[in-house]
Amino acid sequence: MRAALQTFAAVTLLAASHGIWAADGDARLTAIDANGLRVALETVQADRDAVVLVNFWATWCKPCLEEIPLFMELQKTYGPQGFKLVAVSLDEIETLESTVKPFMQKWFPEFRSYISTEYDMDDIVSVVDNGWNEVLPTSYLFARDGTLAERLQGKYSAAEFSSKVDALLNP
Amino acid sequence: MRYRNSFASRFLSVFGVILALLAFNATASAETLRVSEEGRRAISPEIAIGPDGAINVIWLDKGLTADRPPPKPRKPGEHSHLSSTDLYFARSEDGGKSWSKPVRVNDADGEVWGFSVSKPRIEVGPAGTIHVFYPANDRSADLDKDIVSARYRRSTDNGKSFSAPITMNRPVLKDREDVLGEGLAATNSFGTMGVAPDGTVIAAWQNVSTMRDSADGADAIVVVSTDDGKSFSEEIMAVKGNRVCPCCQLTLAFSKDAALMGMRYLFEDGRDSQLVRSTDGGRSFDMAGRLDLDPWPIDGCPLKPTEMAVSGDVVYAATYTGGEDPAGLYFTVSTDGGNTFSGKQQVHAAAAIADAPALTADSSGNVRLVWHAKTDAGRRLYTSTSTDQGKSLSAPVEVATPAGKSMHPASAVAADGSVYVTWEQENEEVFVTKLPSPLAKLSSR
Repeated sequence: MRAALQTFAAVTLLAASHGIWAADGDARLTAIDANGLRVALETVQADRDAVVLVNFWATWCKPCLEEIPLFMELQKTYGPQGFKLVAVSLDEIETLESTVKPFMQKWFPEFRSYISTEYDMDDIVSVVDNGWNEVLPTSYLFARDGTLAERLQGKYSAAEFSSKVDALLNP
Repeated sequence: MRYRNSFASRFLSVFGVILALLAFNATASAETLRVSEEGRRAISPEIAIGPDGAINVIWLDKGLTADRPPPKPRKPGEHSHLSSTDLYFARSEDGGKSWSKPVRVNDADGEVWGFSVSKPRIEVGPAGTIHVFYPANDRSADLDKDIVSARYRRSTDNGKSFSAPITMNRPVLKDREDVLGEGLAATNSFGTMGVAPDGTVIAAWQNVSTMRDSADGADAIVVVSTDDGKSFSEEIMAVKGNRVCPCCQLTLAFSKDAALMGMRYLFEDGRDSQLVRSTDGGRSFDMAGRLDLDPWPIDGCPLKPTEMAVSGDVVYAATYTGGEDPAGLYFTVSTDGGNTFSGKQQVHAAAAIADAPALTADSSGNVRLVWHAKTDAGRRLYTSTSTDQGKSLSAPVEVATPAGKSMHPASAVAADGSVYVTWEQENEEVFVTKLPSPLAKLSSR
């Protein structure tokens, strides 16, 4: 089962990198639960060259939305060097069709993100942080060896993100 | 190996459930009951005890448990901070041993906007009137856009029925979708309500219409009723200058001659807990004290209220802060009516996270603090007490609740000093339990 999930996650991520992500035909959002995120992160971090930024956001968190363009720039700039972004929306899954998909389509059509299916936000964030304080935005920056380098809370600037990612990619 | 793991897993699961049930049955008091209806999704409870000793609880209802998901089609009045819920009420007149059948407070389906961090409020006045305040999904006719309005209803028949709603904020004329996000032109939310000892009802909320950008704060608006909620004043600007954290719910508490409002304020060095005070029945507010916590510089959504309880001139406060090292839930005290705070204490250092405080103080200044915290897996409720005017807090004790996650408590103190606590239980159910007076010992689990 675990192997199957890992394979599925790998295929999903591979598909995502080619812009054909998501089983329901939408290229922007993939529903994911805590176990799915755990497997997805294991798969991403299996690549020991990757510096991974896990970002939790929501459409109702304006500072979160201001970070999204920065993440897309980070992917463009540092993706070839091994930077990987795992974004997870904490909007309620019931709002997927009514709110989140239209929102993404309107404002960030190129952005790829998971959306949590957990009813308690803490359930999915706990995959990376058992002591999450329910602040948004929250991002977790992992070094190439998979260790947590930094928890980032509140909005950060492009320069701050670049500096932190660059330092991990080019120590 | 696979079979053995599976068998062991099933055995441990069944054994664990039995143990959990036994543990709950062994430690729960007779007054620990679910007040929301079985099979319905109930969150964000609040509680108030009236002069007759009856316990009144409200909560948000998200529909039938069996209906979740699937995603719902968008309805007029909903918006990107989607919350389309109903408000339910239940009452116990026998100390929590039995509860009335829940009554829906709102008329229109899905009228109520709210979350566990933006709760509806309930208070009972000295004449027994039940006052209810909540943010509501609304529509601006002028802008033809969705908004959130501040609404109020009252009951004068012990919660059997509630009055027609009063929308307390002015009509929205300014579209601030640029700050709030997709489809939402204005919010009058993250508010609170309180009833002074003389029966004056004060409601407060946050107005975001003058925010310049998302890093700005909101203004705090107040309305006042001196006729037991029959009517309210026009809007009063209580705190202006875009300095109130717009995602941290306001709180209110009353001393003998002042109303204190708690908020998270945008200081130059942090987004931190601050009190403002009114000594003229809510018609004007002045800055009181900032909690003695290290600054928390954060450009984000902390979602952290500043909880208060007052006894005489002593003001007790509790809040989560990321500014302290270590970050966590802190308790602090003012002995001069809220002008200055000192003696901060971290409440639950052993927890991975401690948050969502609910604070009560009886007339003698005995304090009970309840919060949720994670020590191992999911969040559970914990409590501490102080019987020395906040100089010290007892060690955290887990509250006996059903197995699974227990979170987002609210509390109210009864005339005998006992404290009734309501919370959201795993799978979205609302429970109430009774804790003894802080003067009594609570056995450790």
